[in-house]
Amino acid sequence: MPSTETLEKKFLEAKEQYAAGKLDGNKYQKAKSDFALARVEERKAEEADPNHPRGNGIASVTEEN
Amino acid sequence: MAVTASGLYLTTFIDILDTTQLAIDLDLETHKIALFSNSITPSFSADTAYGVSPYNGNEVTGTNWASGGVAVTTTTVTESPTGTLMFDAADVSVGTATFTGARFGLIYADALAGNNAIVGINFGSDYSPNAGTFSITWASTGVFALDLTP
Repeated sequence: MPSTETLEKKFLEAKEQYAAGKLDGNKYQKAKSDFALARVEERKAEEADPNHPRGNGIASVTEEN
Repeated sequence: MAVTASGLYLTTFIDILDTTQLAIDLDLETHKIALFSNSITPSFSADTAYGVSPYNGNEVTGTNWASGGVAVTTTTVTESPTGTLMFDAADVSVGTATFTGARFGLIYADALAGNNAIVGINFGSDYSPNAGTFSITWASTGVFALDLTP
């Protein structure tokens, strides 16, 4: 299973190509879905970590001065 | 006058779905998030756009956070979980930021002439980084999620 980082790179490339009319819509949607689902799973794991600022059901806002 | 809730802007979503056919593309990398103080009172039924009341004043700006805000990037609109439409994006993180009293974030369609409001986020507290890192960390459910199969 590719890492979220790899899927993000593929998705952003697909987004550019699709916007330029150089990629089939189904392939763009697949790249988007693969990345989006991987990101959700990664964030769920971060939410389970009490030391991570990831919000649980809401956005979490922080400032580090 | 205060920020009390987060929400989606009804006027915008009605215009997307009715004969107006407002062309909001949530996959775009050009939407922005602007910051406002607790002096505004958002109305998710009546408010329409960035630059239009109440978003024509009380904007929070400062070092590394200009008027108009920053781009919301790596955006996705997908089904997650099954039956739910989710809009997600990369976390927002701005370093060496200095500003005072950010209570509310407005995501709006900067690419459209109307700067249509999409979603507003109540931060729950005022944030005032002083040469610090200001971060908005989205939940695993994304910036927002709509259960279309309740």
